[in-house]
Amino acid sequence: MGTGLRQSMAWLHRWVGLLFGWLLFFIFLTGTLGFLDSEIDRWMRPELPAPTAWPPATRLVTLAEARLRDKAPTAESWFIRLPGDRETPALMASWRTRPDQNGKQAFKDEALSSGTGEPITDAIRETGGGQTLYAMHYALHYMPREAGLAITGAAAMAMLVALLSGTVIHRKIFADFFTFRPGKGQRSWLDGHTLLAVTSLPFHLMITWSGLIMYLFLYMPLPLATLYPDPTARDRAVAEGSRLAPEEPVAVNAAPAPLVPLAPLVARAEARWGAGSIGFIRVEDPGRADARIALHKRTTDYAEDVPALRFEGASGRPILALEQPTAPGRFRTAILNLHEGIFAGPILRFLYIGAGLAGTAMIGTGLILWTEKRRARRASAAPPDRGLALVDTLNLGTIVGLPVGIAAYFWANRLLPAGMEGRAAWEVHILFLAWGLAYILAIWRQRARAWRELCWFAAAAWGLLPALNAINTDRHLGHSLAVGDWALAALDLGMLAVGLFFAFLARQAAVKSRAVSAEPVEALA
Amino acid sequence: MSRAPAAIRKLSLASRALAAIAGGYVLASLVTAAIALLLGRLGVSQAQALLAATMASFPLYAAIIMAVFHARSAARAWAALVIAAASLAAFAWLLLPGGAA
Amino acid sequence: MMALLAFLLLSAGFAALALSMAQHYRKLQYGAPAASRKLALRGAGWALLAAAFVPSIHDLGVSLGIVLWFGLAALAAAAAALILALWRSGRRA
Repeated sequence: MGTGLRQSMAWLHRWVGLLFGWLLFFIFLTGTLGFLDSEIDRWMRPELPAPTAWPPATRLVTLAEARLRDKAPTAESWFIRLPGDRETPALMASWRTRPDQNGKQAFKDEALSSGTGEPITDAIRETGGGQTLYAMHYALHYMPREAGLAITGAAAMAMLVALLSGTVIHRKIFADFFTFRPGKGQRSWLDGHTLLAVTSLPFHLMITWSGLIMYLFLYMPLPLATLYPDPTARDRAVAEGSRLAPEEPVAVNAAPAPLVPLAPLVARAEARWGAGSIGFIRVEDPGRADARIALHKRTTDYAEDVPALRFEGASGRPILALEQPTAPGRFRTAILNLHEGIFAGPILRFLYIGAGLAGTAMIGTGLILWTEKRRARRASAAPPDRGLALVDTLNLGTIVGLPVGIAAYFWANRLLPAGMEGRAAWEVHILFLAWGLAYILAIWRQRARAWRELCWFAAAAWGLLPALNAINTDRHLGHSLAVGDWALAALDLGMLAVGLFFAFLARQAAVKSRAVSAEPVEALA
Repeated sequence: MSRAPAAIRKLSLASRALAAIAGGYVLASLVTAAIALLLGRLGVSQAQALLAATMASFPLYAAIIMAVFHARSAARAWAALVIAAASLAAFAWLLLPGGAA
Repeated sequence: MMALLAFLLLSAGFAALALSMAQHYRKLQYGAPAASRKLALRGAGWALLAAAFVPSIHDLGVSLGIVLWFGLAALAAAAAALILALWRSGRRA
């Protein structure tokens, strides 16, 4: 601090990275799995029908509408999601109830058969799926959503500072980044850390900044509150910032009035955008005179910001004031779409996962680098370094322990009894229990041995998942490869690859611990 | 700060961290509000200007944090933050409806 | 197919850029590169990176194509660095 720019930034980078590294590792790893959320959802619900050629949207929407009219005629809002993209493995009908006396609202979600419109949810095991895993990366778990968001927001700011200060340290950013010197201890960790950071720097900056923009007025509320002290004006300003001519208001009118059939509206929207282009339909206040219907186009390009088609629910008249995006609104939509990668086809999705894993590995190597530097600087006769021991423990428990926990989540999905009470919650408990056990192992065992053992354990936990899947379900590799169900096949093969990766790490750790025990000084650390 | 006793060094570090995290946050908020108000006066929609400025406030906050940690001392960092924040607050107050201008 | 072409162009581009630097050039040739060769390698490198934009946006359009370019560029740069690292250990053996 206080001397050259690169020294002060190196200090900041080192300490911000250390303080937030473990949390950021968690956020990046679970967030990367979020790019596979829908595929994991399918893997964890092997009872779901295999993707087929779907009936036309007008037919599907009629089925969902019939179900919602039957189950939720007085709901506050209806949501219909039409299958046909990776996000939606089945026809989904959901609704939000009106607040009860205590002001509580319930959200119900049903998967429907695309043939009969009957719910198939009961036949499907209860699971948190990929969505629960993905939601942890921004809302964490075991705490109120707002608390989780605040903590991950602080971590994202720390990440931004670490990325920018890291870039400043690396003056010769382009000269150095082809350099990777394996097998040289601290030097190799630094090279690897730099390589992972620099090659995917555009991704890291985009994902971090957009993560903050996702909840920008939660994280940076003071300017908004200062300029718009009145809450109503504040809400309007938030809407007007991103949308010109926000929704033409439909006067509140709670008198009962039947909702027009949705299928003809879907046909109109498809005439405009093409068959199969409608992804999502939302109905506000169905069964009331002021009902509103909105039809949303599927996202196929992050830079695209197509306003929904809106209709009055009682008359079917179009609401003409289309909400046109403003320039900053367009930017915000684009960067948030980039964050989520919903538009990404197989190749882009593969690259997204690669970049996410690069970010995760960048954080992991950074954490290890901190300990390697500190260890290298220690005098041989120095007293035991408690800080170093703590960081070592947290590193192992997080970098290998979290993957063990995630593998346990998948094992729980296959092994917990189907009708078990609170099954989905227990899947998550088992994730955190297994992760906690990894910390205990990291504390209890000598460092080099603990790395080796936990890596072998992770290798087995991940590598055997496809085998468990084959014993336990009929959606295994033999089936998915035969019928060309590439999403499920890729997941099984990916789990195998993760297992092989940890086996490789375990072997490396074994080599290293032999080298270390040859040096009596290091063996004490 | 390299030769100072450990306690003073720790205190100075805590002061600097507070300046970066809290002071930087307030300053970034003030810059954001001032930009939105200024652009609003120049004929841009204030709601749009605020959205754009708030999106930009995060890299700005990061830059302020980095600057505070680069400052020669915690006291200098605090002085710069206070001067910048006070002038921006005055500027924003002048532009706010119900302010002086 | 277009993505593969883009990846090959990017890999070649990063390889040329790496070789325009003395410390990497020495792994293939004796001595440092002459100034003219250095310039030629650097020019070729940037030209190849730019050329990769064409196949990147060919199938996906400009906006998605840019994302593809960045994603493939990360992969290609990492591949170039790893090959250079392995190359050295190969020569030493």
